[in-house]
Amino acid sequence: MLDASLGAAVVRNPDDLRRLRNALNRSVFDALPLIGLSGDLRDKVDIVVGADCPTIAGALTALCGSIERATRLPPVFADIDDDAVSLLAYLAVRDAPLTPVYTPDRSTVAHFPVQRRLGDKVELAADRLAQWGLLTAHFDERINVCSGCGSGRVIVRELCSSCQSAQIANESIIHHFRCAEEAPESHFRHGTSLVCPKCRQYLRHFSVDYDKPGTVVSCASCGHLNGEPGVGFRCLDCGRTDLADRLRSREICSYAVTDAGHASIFDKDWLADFALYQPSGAQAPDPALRAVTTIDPRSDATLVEIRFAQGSDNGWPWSAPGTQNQFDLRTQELTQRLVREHFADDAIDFVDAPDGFDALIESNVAAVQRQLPGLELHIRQLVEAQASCTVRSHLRGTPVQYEAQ
Amino acid sequence: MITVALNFLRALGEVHVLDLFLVAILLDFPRYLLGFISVVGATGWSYLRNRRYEQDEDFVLPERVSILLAGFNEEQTIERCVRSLREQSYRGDLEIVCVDDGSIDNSFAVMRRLERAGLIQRAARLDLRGGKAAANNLCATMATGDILVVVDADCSFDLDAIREILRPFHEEADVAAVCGNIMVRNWADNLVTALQQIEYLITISLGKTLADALGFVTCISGAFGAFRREAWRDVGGVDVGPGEDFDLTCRLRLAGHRLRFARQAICYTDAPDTFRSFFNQRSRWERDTFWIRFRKFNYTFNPVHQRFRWSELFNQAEFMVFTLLPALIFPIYLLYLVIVLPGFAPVLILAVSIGLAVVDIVAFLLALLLMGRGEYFLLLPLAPVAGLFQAYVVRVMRLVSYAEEMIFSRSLDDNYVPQKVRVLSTWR
Repeated sequence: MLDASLGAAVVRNPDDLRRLRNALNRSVFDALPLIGLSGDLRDKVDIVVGADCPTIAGALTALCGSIERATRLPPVFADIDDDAVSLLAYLAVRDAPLTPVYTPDRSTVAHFPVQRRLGDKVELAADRLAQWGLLTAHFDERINVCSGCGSGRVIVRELCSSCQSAQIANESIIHHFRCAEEAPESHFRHGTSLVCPKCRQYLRHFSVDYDKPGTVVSCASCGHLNGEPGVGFRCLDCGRTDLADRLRSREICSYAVTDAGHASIFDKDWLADFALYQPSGAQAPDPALRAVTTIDPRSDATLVEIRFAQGSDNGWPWSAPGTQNQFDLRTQELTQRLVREHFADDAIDFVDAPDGFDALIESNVAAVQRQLPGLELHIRQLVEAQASCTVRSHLRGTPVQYEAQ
Repeated sequence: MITVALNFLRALGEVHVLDLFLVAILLDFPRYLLGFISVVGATGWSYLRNRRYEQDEDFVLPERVSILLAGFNEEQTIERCVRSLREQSYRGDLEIVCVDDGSIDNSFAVMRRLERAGLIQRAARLDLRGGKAAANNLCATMATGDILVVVDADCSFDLDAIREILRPFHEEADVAAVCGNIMVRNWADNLVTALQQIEYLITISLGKTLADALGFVTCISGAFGAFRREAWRDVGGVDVGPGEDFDLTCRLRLAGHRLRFARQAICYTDAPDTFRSFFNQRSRWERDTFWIRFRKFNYTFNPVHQRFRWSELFNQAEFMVFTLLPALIFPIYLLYLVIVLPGFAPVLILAVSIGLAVVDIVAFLLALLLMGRGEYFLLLPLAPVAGLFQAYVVRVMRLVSYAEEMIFSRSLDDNYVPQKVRVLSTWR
């Protein structure tokens, strides 16, 4: 199988491109700079000879930076089949930001012109990378999307707030001074004349008999009157109609690779760890790596920080003379045993930290959080009057390694 | 002097007491006596009615109810009003329709915000002020309910207020309109507002209960009144003000509609808190009443007029005997005492005042008994003051207002109604 150390590939036509995709691992294919020789490849390759530059040599020159970076991708990169890593590699190799393009041709309206197989999953992958701190996200636009199908192709228009018909019109209000009748003009209109519906008198002179102090919105469908129209939408894709306040809004961001992102994608260790714990990874964990525990936001592992803050001068109940206010080994052992018992898991890993320790629990955050109040209570009982502790669970944005005990 | 006055009262024979309290006995006593009768009757009726309450407390009208809220520069008050309406215990179909009558503050922005929050259903804005009457008519046009409840934007309501004002519609199909009860929200602020609370308790809570029992609800307050749409449409809605609420009530009665008073439908309003603003408000009310009764509806005195109704003549007579006549006679009576008994007049007036104060205390206690609102018992020491204030000050003010209206047509200068409308008012 070809790998990323190829640097770049030249494809003559769409058939070539298809063959290349079949030959290459998906991640490698997504990362690889491509030079096309046919106009048909316009949206599928990085540069088209004849359109963007006159010669292949020129294209290679234009892509030399990308090619150099592609060759630096570690071999382990080819083992990873993950949208986020593919996108990170794509952006890092090209050293380019990911900026949205707005078009009415797609139901999403906003899309990211990444020429590879990510398709509509680009944004999801970019958000994951931003969560991990490998991309930075900058607000670009907010668009309204249909509450039914999520399409951005919606018509927003004024409508009757009572029956939601768009068949509405602004109508003047007429105030007849003599009898205080105040109603829409249509109530007064008799052909070309104005006749008061209350006192049946002709209104002959504006500002003497009557005036028009304002307007109302009248609905031709249900006849209701209102001061201002409602606002509603119609989805062009699924046909749903509803009030505008039921539209969902979607924030569109542009993304740029951070220094951590650049460092990670070219770091074989980071990629190896990622490959080890990727959800779909069929590869068995390397026994050599068992000594290292990786906390990966995608995995069902939760880090609980347990910290002790001394509240009195009496020292710890188990501390040796002369070592007051220090966290001694016996307290640590007892507390860790308590944590293991609490989670009924003897395999919990602990990592020392100042004034306490971290516990890595093989369970998802929600499950751990549910048990934290009980754990905290037990720990407080254990070290009562001598200390208080803080139990927090969190996921880190980027994988963090701890030496297991 | 008080001791002298009391001794004087004790020394009087029965005949002399009659002479001394001639005005009070002729004019005030019947009112309170009738009030007392109404209390006894209404309390018994209320007991029976309360038993019915428990059976159908959560009644729901089949009709939609529209609350009409027209306001001018009500930015500060409208939200409180709307929120108190949304707190109501009534669970039927209820919509709130607002019209901003050309405000120059942020009233409409507040309305829009409340509309977006779903607290009101419709709101319209007028760029030019047209007056309360026109704005209420527009509200009614925009509303979709069959029962229209007109409220003032500066009012707030007891939790059961809407339910109670709708109860007569629920109980009797022929009721066309219902008047709500008004209380003073700021009654504890100062003497002026406290005196007005006492007056409202006696004249509205007690007085209108009597009027309701006799079938003569005089005025459905513009601050809180409910109307069937057919009746509203029948009389053409509100006419040009001022005094448009009283005018509408008169037209409903003249059209033969049945009106009721809902004593337990309580609306709170801020009363004027200075004597100056109090007199301004009352002068305006008195002028409006005088003109509507004697100019716009002068045909109620003409038995050959096609719209003449004996019941309306009775209503006019009640006003003339219990309101207009005391205002005219009382100063003359005092003048008579001073002229006939110059040296003894102060003692005599004081003696009369003590007698009146006793009557006022009784009336106030009756009103409290009727309403069952113990918190107002604190006002008891002020009840005689309120009575004397009404007798000596408000009556004189009323007389002056009537004279102004009769001679100068001052009501046409009130800026409560925009100038463009005033010049065309049909009852000018």
